[in-house]
Amino acid sequence: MISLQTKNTYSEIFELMKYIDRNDLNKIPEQVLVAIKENRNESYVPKIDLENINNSLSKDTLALYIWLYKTYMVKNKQEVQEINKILYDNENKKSIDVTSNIFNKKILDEKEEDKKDKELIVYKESFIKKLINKLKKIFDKSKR
Amino acid sequence: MENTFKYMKNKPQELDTILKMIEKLNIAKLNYSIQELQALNILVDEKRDENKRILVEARDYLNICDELLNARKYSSSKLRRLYNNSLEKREVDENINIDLSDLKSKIYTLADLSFKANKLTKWVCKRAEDIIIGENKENDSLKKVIKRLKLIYRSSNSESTKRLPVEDELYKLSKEVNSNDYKGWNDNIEAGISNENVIKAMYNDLCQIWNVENVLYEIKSQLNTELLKCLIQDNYNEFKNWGFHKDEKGMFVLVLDHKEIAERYGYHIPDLNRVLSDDLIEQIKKQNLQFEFSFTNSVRKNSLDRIKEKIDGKSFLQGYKTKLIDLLKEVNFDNYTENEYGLMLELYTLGKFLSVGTYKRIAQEYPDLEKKCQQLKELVSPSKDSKQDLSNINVKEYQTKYERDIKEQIEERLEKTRKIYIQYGSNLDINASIYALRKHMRDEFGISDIQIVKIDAGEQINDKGLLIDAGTLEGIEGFSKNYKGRKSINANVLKAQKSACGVLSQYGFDIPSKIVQYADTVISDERILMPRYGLNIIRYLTGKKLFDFANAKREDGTYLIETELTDDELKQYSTISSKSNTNVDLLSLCKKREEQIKNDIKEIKDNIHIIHSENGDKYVAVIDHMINCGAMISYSLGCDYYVSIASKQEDFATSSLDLYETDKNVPKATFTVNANPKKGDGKLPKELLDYCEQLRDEGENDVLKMVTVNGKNDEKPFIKPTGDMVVFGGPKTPHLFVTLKEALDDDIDIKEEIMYELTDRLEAKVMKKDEREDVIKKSIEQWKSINAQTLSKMILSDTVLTLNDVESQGRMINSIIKEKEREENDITSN
Repeated sequence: MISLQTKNTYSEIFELMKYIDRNDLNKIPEQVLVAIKENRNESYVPKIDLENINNSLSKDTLALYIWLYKTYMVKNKQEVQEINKILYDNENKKSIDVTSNIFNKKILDEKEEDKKDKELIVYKESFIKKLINKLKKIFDKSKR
Repeated sequence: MENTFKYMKNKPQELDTILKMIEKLNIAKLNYSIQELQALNILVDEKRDENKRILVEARDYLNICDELLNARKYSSSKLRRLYNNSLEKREVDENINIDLSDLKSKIYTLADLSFKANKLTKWVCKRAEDIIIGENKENDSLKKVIKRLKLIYRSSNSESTKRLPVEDELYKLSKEVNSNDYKGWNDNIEAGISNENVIKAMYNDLCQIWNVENVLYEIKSQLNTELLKCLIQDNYNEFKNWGFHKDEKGMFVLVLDHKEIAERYGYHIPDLNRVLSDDLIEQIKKQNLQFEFSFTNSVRKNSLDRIKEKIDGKSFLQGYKTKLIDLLKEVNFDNYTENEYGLMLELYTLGKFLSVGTYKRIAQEYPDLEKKCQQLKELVSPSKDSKQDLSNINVKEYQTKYERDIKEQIEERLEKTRKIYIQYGSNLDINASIYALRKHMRDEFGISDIQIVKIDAGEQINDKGLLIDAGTLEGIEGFSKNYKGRKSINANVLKAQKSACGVLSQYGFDIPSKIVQYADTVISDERILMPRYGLNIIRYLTGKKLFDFANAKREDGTYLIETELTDDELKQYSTISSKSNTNVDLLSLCKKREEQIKNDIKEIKDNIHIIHSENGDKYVAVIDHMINCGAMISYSLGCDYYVSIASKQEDFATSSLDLYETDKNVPKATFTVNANPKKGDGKLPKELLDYCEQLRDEGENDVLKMVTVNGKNDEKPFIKPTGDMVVFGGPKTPHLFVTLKEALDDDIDIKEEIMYELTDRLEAKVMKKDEREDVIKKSIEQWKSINAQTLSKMILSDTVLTLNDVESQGRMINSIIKEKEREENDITSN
């Protein structure tokens, strides 16, 4: 069962294909094009804004296009390697970001915890002070 | 029915199996089923439960089909039959889900049930007859007797013709079988039984088969009548491609083409007047439901895609290929049974029969396959000449007997007449067919004086020469039949053929695969505006250059026919010689065409009108003369509609016919209106269609009227049922024109009047120059195609995509494709 999200992705790529140079498009095997055509959500016909392509299409669609491009349309191996490098770097960057996010979060958490501790100490001090003061007062009173 | 046909010698075992099935098709039940179906009125929703019950019962009666799965192997020797049946087998769902909640489901249900009824008729009743007759030529006498008996049977049941007394007729026949006309009759019959008794018994036995056949036909007709009602109610919304055509006997065939139902399939409707209502017949006569008409352009694309798919060997053949290769991997000549060899051979032959391209590819990928299949063939049907050396057999030589026969017929005819007839005009299909035939005759028989003779459409050929008729995609006449005393090569879409050269290729003539693929392609997109595009270029070429060009590839594997050519490539395939009188300078032709397109664009730009409507503005180009590919040019400029009015028409692109010539006192013109399929709903405005329909039906309106010249009153305007095209006169109806109802001033120009009438209906107004420029600019931007590399760079620079994002999309689409292949394997291996 293909999800609606995937079907919508195929609707978008199907529309995008209409703008691709025919010589490039002809390089994609027919069975792939047929799979896209047959599995798209026919009731969803997205409008493609070529000036603003990245915002008018979903990330999945853009990813599918890049897969189609590097699998079938690319002319030489070097270009495939370049694309793979970009994607790989993004992957790495993403995992570094994730790691650093976790790390940063930890520091933040610690700081937060620290802050709370400090607040608590302040509160405790104040309470103790209050208590001591109170006791002192009582003591003083009794002393009198 | 076990004791039937007991008087026959050599009664085939298969006959008993088939007769048992006929017995299971209980006549009483089937008759009951018809009565029920007659009460069916599927468009009445209140009766939904009742309708469902009737259809479920009808389905149950027809469900003996399941046993046909076992019967299929009996048809292995009848490949042609198997081929035809395989088209049905492919997509018929054996477990019909009867859901009558919407029109689409009703149509599916009726069509599927009709398939079942048809399958039973073909695979059981017709097959029974075939088995009795046998496949030996010596059985001609038996064939004749059965034919006579069928006539007697029909006449005894006929309501319209005079009924013949059965007893007398049978007696007459029993005497006739002793004559020379029925030579060999006695060889079929057990000794010691009188002819009179045999004929009587045979008649009674056959009647049981024919009774079942009749009832099945009736069931099919009832289902089709309901189906037709649904299709008409659907009004070409969902099921765009259906209608009627007449077969070679003038009988009407309801043709329904929808990929979700089955392969394009024709339902014979034997007695139209009895089956259909008067209003339907009226519509058919008016050609409102003519299949050929609806089977064009965008609607036709569905079918063409599928045919192309089949020719390229995708999807459908995928299953055969995989199955065959799996089987061959395991093949062991010692262990296999004859049936298993038969199955494998059948698959192979069927694959080849369907697609030469795929067959060649399989053969290239698996070189052992051809040899093994030849050996299997020998095992299944041992050749008389068993000493044949199998090691030298070439795949190209491997053909079915049917194909060989046809090829021999073509060779024989060419050798005798030395002529190829073609109709006026020249196109890729004709050019390729001519060269393929000439080359074949020269290389194989040393004959190099084959002449090309041009004839008019429908002109008789007295010497029974070979006619290449590529004018229509609807060539129901295959080569195997005599057509009006002549042989013609024509395409039969039902057999996945789409052009004359496709037919020739199938019969073993050498034609490049790309020509077969594109021979009948009509370019209907922006590529038509690219003079350098290979598919446009190939149409200028003939002879060896044509074949060389079709096979030519660039280093990156791109076929020249599928790309835009450089100057050098154009020069390479030009023929420029001072000695030749058939020079083709492709470079200058392209430049000329580029110039022409530039001028056409300018002219169309200047004639764009605007229509203000609730759904946004629409644009229509109105041109007062014929422009080559004008509609496509106007669409590329952003127009919604294209109106072309002409007082001269191109006569097969060779000379122009002055419409005033026949009667200069009556100003006449023709016009066409087309809708851009890529804009809006792709249809013409209702007001315009109503106006044109009224003019067609009544022959005139307040201003215009239709006229025909030279007594050709049967030529009618064409309004496409899908509502996207109107044609009043033109190449298909060259004697039909539009003129003024009443002669007005001499100054009145008929073209201007038509233009005024049409733009008035459309409420179209002339646009200002700056407005026009705006529309065109926007449209051109939209049409401009993007280079794939540029787009990938744009995406990668602005969006952060990871390797995983991209690869997971690839995995998803690959899994969908594999799933589809698995499903097809399941279908084909069942």
